[in-house]
Amino acid sequence: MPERHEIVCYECGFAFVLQGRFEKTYCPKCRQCLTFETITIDGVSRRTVKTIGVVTVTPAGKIAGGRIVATDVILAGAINGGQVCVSRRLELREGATFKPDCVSMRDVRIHAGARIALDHDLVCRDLEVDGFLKARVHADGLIAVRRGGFLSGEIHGPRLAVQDGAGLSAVLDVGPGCAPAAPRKTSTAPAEKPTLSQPETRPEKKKRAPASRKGKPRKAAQNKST
Amino acid sequence: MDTANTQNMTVIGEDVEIVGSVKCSSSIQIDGKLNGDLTCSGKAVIGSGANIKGNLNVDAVSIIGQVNGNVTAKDIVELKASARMNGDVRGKRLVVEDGVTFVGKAEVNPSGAATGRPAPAESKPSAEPEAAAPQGDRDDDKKGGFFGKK
Ligand SMILES: [Zn+2]
Repeated sequence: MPERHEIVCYECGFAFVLQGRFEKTYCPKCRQCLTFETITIDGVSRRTVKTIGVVTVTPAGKIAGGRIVATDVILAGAINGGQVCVSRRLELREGATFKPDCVSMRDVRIHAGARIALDHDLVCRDLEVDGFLKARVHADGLIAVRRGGFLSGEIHGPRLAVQDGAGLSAVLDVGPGCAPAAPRKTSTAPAEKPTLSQPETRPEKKKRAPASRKGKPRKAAQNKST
Repeated sequence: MDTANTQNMTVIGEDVEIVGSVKCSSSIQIDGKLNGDLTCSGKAVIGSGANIKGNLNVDAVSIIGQVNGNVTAKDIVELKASARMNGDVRGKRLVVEDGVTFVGKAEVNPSGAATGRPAPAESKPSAEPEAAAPQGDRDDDKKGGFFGKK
């Protein structure tokens, strides 16, 4: 089975699926050439990076400047400066710290074993909690607390799922009519389901859709902190 | 619910409305309206058409309909997708299906230890060395009063 990659175009936010191995591809929607790189940051970084791959910030890694755009970011270090735009998912691991003004993301996952406490609002689409999270959460998608996970604080959003074996100590405002109370600066997530695409293949011109600019990752949080 | 349990189960039909408290030493299924508290030492099933205005004190409960009140369970609280829960939930275990409406508070820790931690004070994610297992190591947090207001 060839490897499947869910790609989110960092230019227009369009989501599609690629199979196999590749170093670059073209967005079927905006036709931008997208580079696939897997990058590890384990020191102080001020570089600018654009990738449809994963950026990993190790516990020794610190982002102090520059601009990073990636499909996924795995954060075990710190984001103290610059701009980090995560077009799909930010994964917080043990030791992760970030300034909310410096990060925008679509989804968030709290890695199993991580203990994360935020004193600013966490605003995202989907949230998966496999570790421990203490925060005020405003999600406009699904908040899922998995077996072994623990969510403490406040939960505002339309959808919640708690697995048997998970813990919850929170004030809840959850239901279909419940919009996130915290305002969002921009909407990000591509509304379309990922479509299957071939690596390195230019889409046919007739299929070209006008580039949408709505797909910018939303800001991580509104409250000033840190 | 399985057939064996059904035979010992009290069923309050959907055309029944009860005003007052209900105490039940076995399992109970409520499909009608209850305007009062329910105390049950077995499992309670709050059916899809049920409407409870009162507190539930049960061993285990599965909520498919509507509850306006606090729920305390010795074991598990299940909120099915169609459940509408307006009140606080305290139990040992909690299962929430995607689709529920839940306005209130939840205090659930599968390990049995309470977890009412104070609001976060630090501005960044904490890096407490003990990491991992959120449950089981928080006896110091037991003071958090959760149900005081209803
Ligand atoms: Zn694009």
